[in-house]
Amino acid sequence: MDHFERELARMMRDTRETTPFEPRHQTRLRSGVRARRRVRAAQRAVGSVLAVAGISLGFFLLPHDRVDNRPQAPLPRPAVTPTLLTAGPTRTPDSPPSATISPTGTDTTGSPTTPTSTPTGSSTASSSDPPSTDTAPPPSGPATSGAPSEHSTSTPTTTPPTTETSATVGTAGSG
Amino acid sequence: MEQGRAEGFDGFVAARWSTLFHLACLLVGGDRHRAEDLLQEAMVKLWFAWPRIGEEAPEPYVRKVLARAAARSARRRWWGERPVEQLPDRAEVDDVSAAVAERTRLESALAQLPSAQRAAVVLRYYQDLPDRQVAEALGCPVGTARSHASRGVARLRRILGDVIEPVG
Repeated sequence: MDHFERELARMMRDTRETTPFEPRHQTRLRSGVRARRRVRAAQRAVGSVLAVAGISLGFFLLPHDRVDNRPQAPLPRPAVTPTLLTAGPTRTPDSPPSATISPTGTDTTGSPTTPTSTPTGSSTASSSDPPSTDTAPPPSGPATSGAPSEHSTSTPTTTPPTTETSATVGTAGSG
Repeated sequence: MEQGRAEGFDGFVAARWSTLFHLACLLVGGDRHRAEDLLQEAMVKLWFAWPRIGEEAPEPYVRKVLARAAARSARRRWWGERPVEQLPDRAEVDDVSAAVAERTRLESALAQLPSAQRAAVVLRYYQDLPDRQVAEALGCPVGTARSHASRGVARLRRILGDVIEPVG
């Protein structure tokens, strides 16, 4: 440090004047702190709003992109196929519980066994599932199944009234 | 907690206001109003940083804020300093206003420096900071800070050469 630099440092120190911290400085400092606090709060609020808006926009756009880019799923198979209908009667001997459920009318696979099993099987099935056996009429369920034995039982119930009326007419006409 | 923070902050400001105000005056080249604005801004920043640095080193923080803000504001706007060929009012020996005249001359000379050079010179010669701390306060490499200081002193040597006579 040469003479000029020493003189420069001395001038900088000697020219210092005493400046007390006055009340106006304190008042102005307080107002500055309050203003900066408000600015910070406003910046934080704006930042939060922008963040929420960005996240909302992202959530709004994200599902559309996923649907468009997702590979197509395999087509759903039909619920009932002809092969299953044909394979139905063959399954019934293998599954005894399905035969006990059949009186409810929901299952049509146990059609060959239901006419013979319902009078006796209702008492046995009532121990396991009482409401289903009480409410299910045995003839109605097998009537929709289309089994050969059921058609034979349902047609006699409808045909006798016609035959009886024809017989009475025949008798009236004759007598 | 807020009360203790306010007490510690107020104590520091009251104790160091005069010194920091003189530093701000040198950093801005002698403009009192601008120096007060700069110091107020630095103190507001110090208030929010007080829980972190209040117990450690608040004055280096204020010094750094002052130096960087002075350099930034000087780049941003023109403050009306006008370089002149002749420095006004050379003080007579034993004049009562000699100190005031010397201060005016020094501030006029500092006002002619670029802001970075002025800040480097003030931190280096008024604050007696080594080059590494000057660079840290200005936020630049050590070589850059050293270059700013040497160029600023060289320019001040030309401006104040007739005031500070070389030792013969």
